[in-house]
Amino acid sequence: MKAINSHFSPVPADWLRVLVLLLCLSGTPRALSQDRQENLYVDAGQCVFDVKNNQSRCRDGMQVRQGSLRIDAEQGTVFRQGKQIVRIELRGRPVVFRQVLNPQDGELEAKARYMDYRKAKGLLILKGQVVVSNPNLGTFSGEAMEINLNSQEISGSGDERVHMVIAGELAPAAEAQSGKDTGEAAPTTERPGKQADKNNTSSEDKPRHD
Amino acid sequence: MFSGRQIRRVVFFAMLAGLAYVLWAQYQEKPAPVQPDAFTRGYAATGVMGKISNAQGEFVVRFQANELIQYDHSDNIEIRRPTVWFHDQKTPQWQFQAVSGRFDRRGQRLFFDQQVKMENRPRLAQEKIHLQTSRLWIEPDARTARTAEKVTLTGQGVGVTAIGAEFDMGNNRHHLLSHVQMEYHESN
Repeated sequence: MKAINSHFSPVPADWLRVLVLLLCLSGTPRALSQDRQENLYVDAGQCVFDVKNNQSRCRDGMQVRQGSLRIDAEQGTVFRQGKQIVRIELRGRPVVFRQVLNPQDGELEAKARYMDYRKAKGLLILKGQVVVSNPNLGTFSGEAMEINLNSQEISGSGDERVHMVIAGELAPAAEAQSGKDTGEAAPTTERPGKQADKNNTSSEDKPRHD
Repeated sequence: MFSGRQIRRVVFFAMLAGLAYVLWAQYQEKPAPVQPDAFTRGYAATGVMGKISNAQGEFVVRFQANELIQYDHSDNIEIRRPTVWFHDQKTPQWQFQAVSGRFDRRGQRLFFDQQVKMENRPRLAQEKIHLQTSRLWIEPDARTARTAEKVTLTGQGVGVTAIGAEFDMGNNRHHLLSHVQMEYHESN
């Protein structure tokens, strides 16, 4: 499967978002909101508990748990403002993030060498050998991605290519469109099984030659 | 039947054997350790309150204890129910309590034992912490403390346990050495 060419977005090249996929909102209660009600646990080999700067730096293995959320890393730092955790920065080979965002979609798993979990904003920034997978939706890989855990958007960043394998039906490969209309359904933002609107998606996905 | 002469010889050699054993046992026995008793030379003071100042005359330490005991043969001062406060213009005030302790005069450090509690009185409420452990070595001059035992730390919105810790009271930054478990109490 070929990577989607990142240069078909109307946004200038250096600010490109390679791919934006909308996971359909099911309308059922999300696991994410339930997770936020629970306490957050951190287990580690060693930590420096810096009271003055309101942060904790841990190493020799670090695990973060909150409800269905589980993050495994080699080292990381927890940043707080007052009593609230605003950000957790993690490094590992790789860092593994797992959370049930939506009971219908199952567990989202993300792996990367570096993760910046911006808890207050519900953002997960991933860098370095990124692989994001979900049993219903498929697997996405690249060098840099960003996941909005609230709106369940996954986007690539920078000029890096994103590889996508859609789960479920025999979906057409995400080929770079070089001006040709192959007649096949382009990679869609819809759930598998739904017909894509050829006119809309093909116009959006055709590469633009500026 | 044995003759009288034979009986006398047996008794004589038995006595020799007994004497030899007694002499041998005396040389083999280790001397008993010297145990200080209530009447060992030294001094004790009860209901003690004291203050210590530095070379500049600044008030740095305040202490209180049910009893202070100094034995003549020891470099240590035994302390019953100690409470110690560290004062410093730059460093927030720290308080230590325990069931017992001792002051090592050679190393100029304090050892607190059993139900050791430590807490600070910072200017900012979010920097308030409580610590509990079973044993603690305190270096007053360096404003540091350490333990190899289990420690429980409670801060604003967080509870932490670990095994072994080194405390930096000056910077309020504490190194938890192993088996660290943190629980953040998230509130929406």
